[in-house]
Amino acid sequence: MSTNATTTATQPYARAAEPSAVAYALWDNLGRVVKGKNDPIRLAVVALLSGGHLLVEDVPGVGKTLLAKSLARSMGASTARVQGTHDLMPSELTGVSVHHPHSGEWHFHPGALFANVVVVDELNRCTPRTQAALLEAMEERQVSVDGTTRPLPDPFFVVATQNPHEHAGTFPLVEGQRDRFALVTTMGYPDRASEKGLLLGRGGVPGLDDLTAVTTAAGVSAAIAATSELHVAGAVADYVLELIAATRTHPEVVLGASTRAAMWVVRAAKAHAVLCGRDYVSPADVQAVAAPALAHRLLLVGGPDAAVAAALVGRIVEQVPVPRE
Amino acid sequence: MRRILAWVRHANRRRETEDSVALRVAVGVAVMASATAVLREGVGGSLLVAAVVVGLPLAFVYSAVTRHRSGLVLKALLAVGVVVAFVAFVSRLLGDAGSIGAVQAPLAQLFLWVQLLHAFDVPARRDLLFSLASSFVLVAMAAVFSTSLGLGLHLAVWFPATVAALVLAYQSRIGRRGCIELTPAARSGHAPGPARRPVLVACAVSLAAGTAVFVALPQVGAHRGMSFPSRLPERLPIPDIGGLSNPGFDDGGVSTGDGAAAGSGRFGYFGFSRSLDTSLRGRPDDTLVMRVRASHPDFWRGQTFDTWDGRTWTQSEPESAARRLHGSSPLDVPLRREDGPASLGDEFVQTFMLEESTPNLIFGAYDIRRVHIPDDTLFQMSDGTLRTGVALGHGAVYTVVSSRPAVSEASLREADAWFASLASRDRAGALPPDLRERYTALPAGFPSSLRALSDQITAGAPTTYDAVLAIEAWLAANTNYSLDAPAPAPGVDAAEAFLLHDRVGFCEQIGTALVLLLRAQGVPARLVAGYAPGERNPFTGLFEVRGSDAHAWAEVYFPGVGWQGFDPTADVPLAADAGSSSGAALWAWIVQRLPHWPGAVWAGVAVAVAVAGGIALSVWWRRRRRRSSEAQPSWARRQAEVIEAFGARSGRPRAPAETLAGYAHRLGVRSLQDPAATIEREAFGGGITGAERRATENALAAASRDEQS
Repeated sequence: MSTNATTTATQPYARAAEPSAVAYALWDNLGRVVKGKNDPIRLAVVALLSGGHLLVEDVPGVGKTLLAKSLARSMGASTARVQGTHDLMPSELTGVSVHHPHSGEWHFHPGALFANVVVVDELNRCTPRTQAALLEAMEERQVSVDGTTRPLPDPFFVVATQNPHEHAGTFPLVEGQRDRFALVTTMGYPDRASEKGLLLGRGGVPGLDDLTAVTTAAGVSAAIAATSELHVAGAVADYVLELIAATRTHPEVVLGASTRAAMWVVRAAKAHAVLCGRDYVSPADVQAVAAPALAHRLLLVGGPDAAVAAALVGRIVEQVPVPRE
Repeated sequence: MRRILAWVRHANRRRETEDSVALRVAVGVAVMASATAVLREGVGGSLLVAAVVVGLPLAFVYSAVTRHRSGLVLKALLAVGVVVAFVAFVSRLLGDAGSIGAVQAPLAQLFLWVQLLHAFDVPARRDLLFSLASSFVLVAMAAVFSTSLGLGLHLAVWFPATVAALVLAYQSRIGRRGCIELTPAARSGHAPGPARRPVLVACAVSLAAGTAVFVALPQVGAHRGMSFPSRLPERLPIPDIGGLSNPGFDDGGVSTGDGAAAGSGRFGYFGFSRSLDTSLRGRPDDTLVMRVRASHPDFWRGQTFDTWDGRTWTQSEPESAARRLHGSSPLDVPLRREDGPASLGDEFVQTFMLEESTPNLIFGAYDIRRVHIPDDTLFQMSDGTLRTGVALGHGAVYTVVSSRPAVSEASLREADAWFASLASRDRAGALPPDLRERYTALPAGFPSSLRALSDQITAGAPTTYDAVLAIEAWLAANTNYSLDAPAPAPGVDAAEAFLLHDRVGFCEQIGTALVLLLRAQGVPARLVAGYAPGERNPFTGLFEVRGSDAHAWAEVYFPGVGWQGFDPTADVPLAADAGSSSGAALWAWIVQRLPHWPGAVWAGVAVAVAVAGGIALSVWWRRRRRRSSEAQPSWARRQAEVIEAFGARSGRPRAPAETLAGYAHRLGVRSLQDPAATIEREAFGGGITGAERRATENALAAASRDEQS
């Protein structure tokens, strides 16, 4: 039944370009399970299509993991889940070579990272060493174990979660590390109706197990490739640079957005445009992804605070004029 | 029924008053130009002229000042005025029980009155546009009446004014304030300049398309309608009824013999009288005498002469012998005894529009069968020429239907043999003795030297027709055409002086020579005075006949065929052949007006024009590129401004950091959202199609309309 419904829902986008159809199908499918979380769902799809990774920051119990798992399942791709703890070793992520005494050979046992979608819960509970291994793999899309370099699957998408309000026994990511994530989002509490529906278990809300794949790993790879090719007008690129420049000169900001930050804004804007069914990037796409793509890369005068940073980027977006048509 | 009433009420609802002064001025100028164009074609009396010239500007000013008042009293007065104008129109029609052609002028007058009355009450843009559309009808009317290039002057004013009015009306409709405003409140609005380029491009394209159509169209000189125009602005009976008057030629200035200053620089021709003195010198000037609408060029025949006295041609038939044709227009011209069967050829319609006072002769191609003229009497001479009982002056128009003789060289050559084969009693029918006697008569003192010359020239000619050709060939070889021909000494036979001594002359001498040399052979012949076809104006398609086109030529009688004209002076200079395109005629007209410079000069001019054109083109191209990159707002920007103006009017201006689609969404007007998305795609995407552009423009216009109503 859910398959039928999905088909119907994607119908209007069947005519759209392929990446748009993939993006819409994923977004639609996530929405069946993760109720009342439109923005995180949207940003999850945007992060995936932009070829980056997603960090979800929020308190436990609001569906962070459900979102990550639903995404993996919707893609019909291999998935792995790692719970961040103090004693999580880097090799558990990357894999190890094990000596087989009978054959006398070393065999590689791949770690958790060898999956299309990797969910890392409680990232800030990992030791900095493990964090570093993960972040390096995210950047390189490959791991080196015992002198051998092994490519990670394609697509490779990491959804990390952490609770920013926990401080005891955590190792918060420094700015340079947060920079590795394309987008950072919060989950937020669901609205009252959604929560009530969850409590009552009615309304035919499908569980994670009811979710079927709406695309394939190859389909997502192709969509990512197509997204990166999207047309960006010079005026829109100028607009992005204006926003970046505004973060650099803002009095509340110690360190403004980097050039890499600008590149990720454009990539995320492309993915957002694809999700909206456009074949070009509009200033609205830039506005939609500006806060999730920039807020976590800023060093504020008052110290790290995701909400403050997001609000600051929001104000900048409201002030910088959009390019004239 | 109720729905119809509601519809009428809706259509007549009070609309927003139009505050743009510039739009009112542009419409006023266009209406003025078109109304005066109609007036200049002689439609309407002095009352109408005064009313339009004075009243129309007053009306526009008045309606601009009082545009906010409901003006019920004025409306009632105007309604009464329209009814009065209509009653006057109907009464004129009833009194003037004429053809459809007679309706044209009263209809134009009615339309002018209505246009004038309407101009007093044009509060809204719709009313102004109605006036503008009416001005187009007036221009079309003027074009129908027009016979000269004067209409072009009015068009040169009307066209830019209309374009400006259309642009301003459009700007006013979409709420753009690119013009001077009456109300101070409107002045504070967003005011980008008018979009000049699309307007200029549209103008250039329409002008080019119009020119292309004009050049490609076949030239229409013939009549299209069923009614043939005729008009007499005033009825001045000539003093000598049935006689001939030639007001264009000042008899007082004629001095015979010494050859000085005949016609004294006027346009009149001394040939249009009872006698033609071939010793006179001097020619009429280039004054435009009349315009002729005809499908082909032809000689416009006026008067013939049968009696030669050695110096002067005269008409022997007394004017009292003229046959009086009485009836209502059109007057049928009866066949005469001397009209051969060939006189019943194709119908050929010619309309003569007089610019100057001409003799009271009805000009026309041989042979006239029917005359449309608003008079009841014509006088027909036995030679077929016609005279009116009233004076023909400026503004007079008459139409002549001729039958063109269907003759060929073969039929002319066979005429002699056919005549010879007739029994003697039938010969009198084919060539009546009195006709023969009248048109072969030579004066008693006719020089024998000329008889000898005639015999010598026609010695080898087997037929009359060949004799004519032989004489024409001899004249071409042995005489020279010159307007400065010496006048014959007093008492000398003018023909002998020309043929045997001077051998320099012009059409009167050359035509006379052909007639006399033929008469010496016993062939009936006569001299004809009239006009050469004139030059066809490529713009109006009319033949313009000037005083200098006055001409004399010969007519020869062929038994069984009738009278056949011959012009020994020259090949007929046909200005334009029927059936050629307007483009070809235009080119010929231009080439004829170019100065006769040597080829090297023309090559230099061509190179200079090419260089200047190249420089202008490169400057234009560079400026265009600079402008397109800087100042000139793009299509997307202009359309976005429409949406912004829409939002500003509804009290929600666009914030600088607001995307257009988001703005349209937040305005809450559904019909703006799709256009906004399309405009963004044009600006930031890969561009849109022309159909999408048009759809967007239409959607925005529709949204503005909905907003108003």
